[in-house]
Parts: sequence; structure tokens; C-alpha cells
Amino acid sequence: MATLPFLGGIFNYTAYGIPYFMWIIIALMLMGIMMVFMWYFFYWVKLTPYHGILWAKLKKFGVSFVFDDNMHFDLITDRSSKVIFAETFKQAQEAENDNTKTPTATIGSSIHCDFIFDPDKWTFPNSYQHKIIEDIAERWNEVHPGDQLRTLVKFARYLHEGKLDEHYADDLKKLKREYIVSWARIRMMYKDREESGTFGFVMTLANIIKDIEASSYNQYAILILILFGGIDILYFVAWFIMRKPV
Amino acid sequence: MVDYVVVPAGMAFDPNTWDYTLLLPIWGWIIIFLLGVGFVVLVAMVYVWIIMRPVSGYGAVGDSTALSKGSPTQVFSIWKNRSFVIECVWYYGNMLAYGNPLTKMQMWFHNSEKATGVSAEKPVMITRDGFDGTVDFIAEMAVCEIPPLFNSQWGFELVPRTDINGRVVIGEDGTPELKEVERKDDNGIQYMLSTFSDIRTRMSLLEKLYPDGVPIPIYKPYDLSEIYRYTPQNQDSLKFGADIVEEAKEWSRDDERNTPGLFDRFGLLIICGICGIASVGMLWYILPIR
Repeated sequence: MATLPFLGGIFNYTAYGIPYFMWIIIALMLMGIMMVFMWYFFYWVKLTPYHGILWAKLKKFGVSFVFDDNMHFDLITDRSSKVIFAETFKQAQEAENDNTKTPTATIGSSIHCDFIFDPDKWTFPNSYQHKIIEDIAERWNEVHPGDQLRTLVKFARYLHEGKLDEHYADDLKKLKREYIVSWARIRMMYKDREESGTFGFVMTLANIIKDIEASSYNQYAILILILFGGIDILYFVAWFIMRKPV
Repeated sequence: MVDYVVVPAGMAFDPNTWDYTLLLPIWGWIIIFLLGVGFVVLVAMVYVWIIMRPVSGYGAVGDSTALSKGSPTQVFSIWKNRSFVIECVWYYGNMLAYGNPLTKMQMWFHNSEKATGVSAEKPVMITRDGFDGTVDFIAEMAVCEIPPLFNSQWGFELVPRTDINGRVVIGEDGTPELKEVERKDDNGIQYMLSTFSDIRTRMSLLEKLYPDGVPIPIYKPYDLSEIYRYTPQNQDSLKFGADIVEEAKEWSRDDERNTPGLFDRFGLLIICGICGIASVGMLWYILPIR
């Protein structure tokens, strides 16, 4: 009768003074640490420009992609993108007695995300445009306590409606009111498709389809590899457990 | 017959160096602590992954797919269910398509280089599921500004008010009373713009009326509901992709050249099978179970 140790003797034997099972735990720990490092460098660091989304989720605020006329997008908070003074967007809305919630889209299930066209740097807190807006809004709010002006959306609307022209005309001269979009740009986006534009891709796709159909059985090759890999591992474990004591 | 030693006999721990107070030896608590830390780290990683998953296509690291010979491009996708995601889509000579177009058929045609933006120092294209081309936000916003601008100036006209007998009603000042009605052309078609096809039909006229271009507010949020109102109809990205795939399949069927041989069809399968059997055989030879 042969006497074999439990699980190949991982509780019975030591290597360099440390039991086998401790070596296994150390190996698992190292694998875990390596996994965290890989996750950090290949996933988290890669997403650096969008880390704000995580903070938006944790601190429950919205985000905006602000873009200029060349469609350069910057991800900033809704506070920076929509509010005139140093307060949160919610506080500004409450002061304006406005509870409109119309995000362009949501990221995941709950992070509100807007896209805001701002070629004149209204959302840059240190720009002279923002300072002018701040100044005008401050003066407006003193005169109109019941009609507070605290968000850029409302400021833009009042500017468009001409409500600010009467008293702040000199300051408003320094702000641009509109951006002219050329017809070439509009036509370019909506021009009719030409068949020649897609023909090359159709032919490429035809070749790919032919390749896929030709190698349709080869897609099971990975299953074969997994099957034999599994058999190898099981064999190795069986050998380790059933081997004779040293 | 094999007799297993279930109780670890001759365990290598030295009770003198490891303290067995607090129910477990110290090394047990260390392991539990490390496992706890590992669990917390894992949960945090999964949580971050769930939050960041919608934007994980940033940087467009392409994987090995059917279209992987194209250029991987990061794409902002805004869908009708108001989801926003950043995806990796393959750019293939004017065309944007997912890695395996046979299973995920949406495709977009890249008409305008102005529809390419930059996000975090990387080029980005924008797509929507209701339109089969890449999107230039600014052109879209301009299109939304055209109908109110045109309609307010040209959509209506003032005509004399008439009574039930068709006679012109004269006001107190002696001039005919006027009323605002929709302006119509000689064929009875109204001037007012209400859909994108109206705008497309009158594009030349609009260019003459507003030669400089279309003014849009200097600060304006992109309003998706307004955009969908003036989106070209029957230009759905999924239908566009399905048409392209169908056309490609027809070409593929018609092409009788290069018929695949036996090795093309089964070659990889056979090689993997042989390698697998060989690996088991080698293991049997090196580590025999006796």
C-alpha cells in the first residue's frame, strides 16, 4: 500500500523553509499585484483624459464636451461649461428658478453629458469674454433680483433676444453674437453619395466574406487548442496529486 | 491501493515562531487581510471598469477582426436612446464599419473632413444611428437654424383679409385689413421649411438669400431632439450597412476565381489537432503516472 500525502503534500513539505502552500499563495499574490499593475497601466492610464467621468459619477455632477469651430473637444464639468459665477450648476439653476434637465446624452446609465458649441471661449474662466459676461450678469442681477442671470445658456438666450442691448451695449460690443457656418461646410456633410465612394469597400468586404466562408471550419481550431490545453492541465494536476512522496 | 494522508502530518510551521493567539495563527490573519485587500481592489477595479466602459474605446486600440487591415479610429457614438459611447471603429477608405460587419452591420460614409474632430489629442469621428454619414455638429446645428430664420422672413406674407363673400375687409383707417398666411409659389407649394428635404430642395435659393452662410448662436448646446427633427430621412446607418453587406455578398458569390482548397478550409483545424495530441503525448512521456 502506497501512502500519498494530501494534495501532493502542499501542507507537508517545504522549499527553502517555506511550505508549499505558502509558495502558492505568494505566487497568487504576485499574480494579483501584476494584474493590478497591468490594469493600471493598460486601462486606467490610457483613459486619463476621461477620468473626470469617474469623479462625475462619484460626486454626482454632469459633464460637458465643449467644442470649437474645428471640433476640438474638451471634457469639463457642467459647472465650468454652463455657470457664470463660482457655484454649482444646480445652485445656479435654483437661483434662476429653472429646473430644465435636457442632457444631450448620458454616459453609462446616469452621467449627464452635454455637447456645447463655444468658439468664443465663454467657458474659459480666465477669458476676457467670461469676465465681461460675469460683469454684465452681476449688474443685471442687482437690478433684477427676481430674474437672476447665472447660467450661460440663459445669458446666450437673453443676448439673442436682445434683452441686454439696452443697458449693456458697450460691453456687448466686445462679445461675438453669432458664428457664421459656410454653405460649403453644410453641403459637404449632406452631399449625395457616389457609388464610386463605396465601391472599393464593397470589393474589400467581398474578399473578406470569401475568406470567412473559406475558413469557416478553422474557427473551431481555438476550441481544439482549449480542449487539449485542459487535458494537459488535468493530467498535470493528476500527476502532482498522485506522485510518490519524495 | 492508495492511502491518502488527509491530516497534514509534519507540517512545516514552527509553533514557536508563529503566534496562535486570536483563534488563528498570525499567518492566517495575514492571508485573510491580503485576501480582503485583494477583494476590495478587485471590486474597485470592476466598479471603475463599469463606469468607464462607455468610453473605453478612447485611443482606438484595434483588435484582430475581419476588418483589421483598416485604420482603427475612435468614434463618438450618440444613439437615439441618448447613450453616448466612445468606440473603436475601422476606417476603411471613406467608410466606417465595425470590426465584423457581418454581425454588426452599421456603417457610415465619411463625406466631410470637417466631420473629424480632436479629443484628447486624438482624431475622433462622430456617428449617430439615425444617419448614415459621419456627423459635423456645426453643420447640423446650422441646418437647425435655417428653418426658423427662413420662415420668419420668407415663410409668411400679408394678404388682405376677406369676408365670407370674398370681399376685402376695410379697416377703420380706410386701408384693407391684412392677415398673415403661409407664402406659396405658383404651384401652390408652401415656402415654409419644415423638414430636411425642404431645405435640400431649396438649398440653391437659400444660398442666394444668405450668401455669407448660416448664423448660429455663439454659445449653444447641441440639442439632440432638434437635430433629429432635421435629419435626412431614409438614410439610416443600419440600412446603409446592410445594403453594403448584401452588395458585397453578391460580388462574393459571383466571383468564381480562387475557390478555396481543402487546406484552406480545414488546415488550421488539422494543425491544432495534431499539436494538441502531441502535447498530451509528450506530457504522458515526461510525467508518467505510476
